[in-house]
Amino acid sequence: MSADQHLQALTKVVVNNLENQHDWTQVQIHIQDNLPRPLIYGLPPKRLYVHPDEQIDIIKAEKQLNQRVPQEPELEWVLPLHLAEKWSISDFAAVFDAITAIPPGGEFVNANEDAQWQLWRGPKRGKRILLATVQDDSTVTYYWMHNGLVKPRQN
Amino acid sequence: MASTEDDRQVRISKIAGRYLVFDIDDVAYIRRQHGICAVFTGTMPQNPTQNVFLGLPLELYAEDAKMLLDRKVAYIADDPLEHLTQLKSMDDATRKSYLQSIKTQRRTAQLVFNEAKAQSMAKHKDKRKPKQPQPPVVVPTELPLPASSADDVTAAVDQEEEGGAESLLESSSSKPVKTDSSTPPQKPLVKEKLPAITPTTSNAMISNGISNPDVENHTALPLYSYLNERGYFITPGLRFGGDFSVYPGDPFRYHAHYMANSYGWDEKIPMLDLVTSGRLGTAVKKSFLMGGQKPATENSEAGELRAFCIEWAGM
Amino acid sequence: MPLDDDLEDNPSLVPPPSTTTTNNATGDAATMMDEVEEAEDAPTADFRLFASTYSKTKNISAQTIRKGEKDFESHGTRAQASALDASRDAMRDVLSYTRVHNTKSASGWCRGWYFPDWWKDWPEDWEQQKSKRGKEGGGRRMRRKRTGNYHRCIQSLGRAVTGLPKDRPARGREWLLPEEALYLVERGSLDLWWPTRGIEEVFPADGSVPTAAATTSAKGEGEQTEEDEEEDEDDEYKYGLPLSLQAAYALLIGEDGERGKVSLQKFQVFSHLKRAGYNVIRAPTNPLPVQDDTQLTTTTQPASKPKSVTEWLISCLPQSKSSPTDPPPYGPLVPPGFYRSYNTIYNYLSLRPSSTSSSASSTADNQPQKPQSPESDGYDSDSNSPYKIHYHIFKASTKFTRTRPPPPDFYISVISAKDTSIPTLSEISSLLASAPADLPKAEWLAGGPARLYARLKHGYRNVLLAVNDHGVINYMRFAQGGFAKEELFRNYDMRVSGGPRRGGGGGGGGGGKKSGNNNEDDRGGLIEVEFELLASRLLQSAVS
Repeated sequence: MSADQHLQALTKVVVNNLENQHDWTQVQIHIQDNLPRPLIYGLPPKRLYVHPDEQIDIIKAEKQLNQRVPQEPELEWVLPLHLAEKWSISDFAAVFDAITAIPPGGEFVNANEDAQWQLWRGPKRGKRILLATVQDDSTVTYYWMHNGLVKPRQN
Repeated sequence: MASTEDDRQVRISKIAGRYLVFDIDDVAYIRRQHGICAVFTGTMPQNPTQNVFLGLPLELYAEDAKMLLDRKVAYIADDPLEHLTQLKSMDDATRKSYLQSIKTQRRTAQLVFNEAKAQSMAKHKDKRKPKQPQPPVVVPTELPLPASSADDVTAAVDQEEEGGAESLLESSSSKPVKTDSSTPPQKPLVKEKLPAITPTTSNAMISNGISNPDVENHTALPLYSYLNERGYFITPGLRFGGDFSVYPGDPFRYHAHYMANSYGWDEKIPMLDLVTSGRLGTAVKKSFLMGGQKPATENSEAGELRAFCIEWAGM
Repeated sequence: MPLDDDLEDNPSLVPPPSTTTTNNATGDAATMMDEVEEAEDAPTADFRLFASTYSKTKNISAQTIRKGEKDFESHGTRAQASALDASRDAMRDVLSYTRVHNTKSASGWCRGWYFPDWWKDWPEDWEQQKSKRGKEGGGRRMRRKRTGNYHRCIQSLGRAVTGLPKDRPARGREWLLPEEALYLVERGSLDLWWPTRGIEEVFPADGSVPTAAATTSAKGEGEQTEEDEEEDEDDEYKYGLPLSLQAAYALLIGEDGERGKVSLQKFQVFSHLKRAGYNVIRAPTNPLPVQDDTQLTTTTQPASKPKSVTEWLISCLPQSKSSPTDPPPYGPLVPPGFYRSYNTIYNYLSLRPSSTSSSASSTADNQPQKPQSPESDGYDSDSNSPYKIHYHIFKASTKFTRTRPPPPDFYISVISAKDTSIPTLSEISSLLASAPADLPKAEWLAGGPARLYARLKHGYRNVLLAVNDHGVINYMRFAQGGFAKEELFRNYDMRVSGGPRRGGGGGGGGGGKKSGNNNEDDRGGLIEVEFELLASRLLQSAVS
């Protein structure tokens, strides 16, 4: 099997897993010249990541508005990998350098400069990718990888 | 104090390839000004039967030592060599000044001891009064010299002796102690035999800068100083299973945010390592941080440093 | 349960210090420990707690400082800043302590002299004693003079060299290893001196104690090198100088294996264990004598099992009782037929030798064994391996005398977290082989299947690894598991032969079965082995 075929198969396993096990929608395969392999992006059924500082902004906003701020899911990037692979810092850096923080079509349109919490879905969102690591038995494990220093969530 | 901190030169004792700091003022200084807390490794003489609180010396990472050296606030000393050289051929002046500083400390110890004794006697008296519960008197078999009380005492003992008060606290001087022996000998305050003391540092005996060995094996320096410059404190990572534990401030006050590993720019990292480290980090409520520096190129001297953080995605 | 006696990093689990005269802390000490024990990272323990237990004048009570007060991150508040300042100030206060030796007290004090070269011409066995500790105060015996902790630590350290010629200087003095001397200096129990005169003068062969003499008849001595007005004091300095803690480190810490020194890593582990109340002695540099012909002698014993590939090949010949016949060159390992016991079948299936089965067979042997896996043939050339037993550890409860130490409770190897990789099979086998057998408790051995896990967890030999990362130490236990000893199939037989189920047809009789391998049929105890190959074999034989 050529490397190309391998990547295609790998991508397919992850897409299937996202759609059928994790109920993602709008799952797209994203091919770009400066990317070493196809990425995937899609919409999870519920919000997958909230930055600790965003959490604080949301709580503040909820206090101010005296109502719950709904947490719509966001489009997320996914990088399919096989467990047997080895990647270097420079490999990951190349991927992060090639992408925008928000996958195509995911821009938050009604961003209001006054509402701090909304900025986390726009300009304040850092680059992050879900590492989808596929094992030989086609189990897939998902880990977040953030670009730069991102403090851990406190849950 | 501020003025002395400006030109402070921290003595880093290089002993058998390890980097140690013995002077508590150096320790306080690098902690406050350079965000280095490192690890206390010594037994506390006040309570030598516990492992929760440890004392001097402080063991630095080679990265700490290199960083301080590069910032020109420290010097590396080949301690075994300098000690042997000095001890084997000590000139009279140094010898005198060293013994003088020891005597001063012995006298102070005597005074503090007497004071403690008086206090304990007073408390003992109090104890006889009924209905006055007293906490058990704290009179260690070995004698503490708390800085506060020592200050007063020293002032009383010998103000004329320059550097005496400082060396008593093992504080001040990374600068060489004056070897001038013109100080007039004092009348002993007490005729009885003074308690013996073991100074913490050799400041009164050896001066700085005789040897200047290099710092070796600081491969993680790029990531290390990247984090340090951003205000993070770093301690050994053994407890959490990484190279380093990284704190968002002084570990006295904060929990660690990251367990960090340093990699070469093109070092291939097995995906399984990332998964295990990410899982481990999440289990201890930390993010797994991996970082490496791009090698220098023609265009850029020191390449950029890239760091990534990994957490379990919860799916 | 089998791990309950392991060393733990958690300070709350170490044995309580047996006699604590220095533990002047009141009830607060206990509180302090309670509060700190759950702290996730000990190196950041708040010195305010420590200060509060020692200095009542500081007005900080341990009760007001609760655990879990650490924050997630800085909020830039003044409260945070001042709390941090308080912690740092407390650290500074506590660590500004100067070690004082009370020369006046009846208990006296202990002065050591640094004579690193005194034993250098002696056989290697002696080479370890470098630093000299003499006794002040007219040579009265230390043990009478000290009590409590101090007494303990002196008793368990040092070494008197007996049987020396009478005219040798410093007879009857105790000699300390570098780690012992440094540990004593660090805990404030030893006043270490640099001699400026030879040992003959400091400790004359006639047994007099010149330093003590100097203190009592100072004026009578005419040859003070310094003019001094301080009467007796400066006479002390005639023979040497007191050394600082820093100097002690500089003189006693060295590279691994350096003469008269100890590596910092080992020293840190040594003192960590000493502080926790254990008695620690250096493991002999030359491991216990191992006979070179161990392998030969054991292989000739019928009970022992194969050890190396060659031996295994030989053992495939019909000589070993455990496998009734040698495996056929082709075809099924278990010949088709009817069997009355699983033992026979499993013996047919047992092809691979196992190191535990052999060590288990010689359980009586309490000596270190020669490594047995083929990979460890390079044992002797492996002398560079960092995985060696460095210290013998004795629990505080073990009755301990230095001169005739009991069998150690633990064997420990000190490993650097940064410079050492995970041990290879050959390294770990050699390491385990250098420790004597440490069998599971007798009641576990006799406990049958019920104590299976206790036996497996404890293992048959074990060594502790002290992994040191710049002063942070984790302890791990490596044990030789006895999986090969636990022959689970024996239980199947007990069920088969001893079972009262007879004629229990319908397959419902196997309620107690643990394994699907139980091919019991209604013939009760008879096991039928059938293979598809059977047909072909029969066919073959019919043809021929």
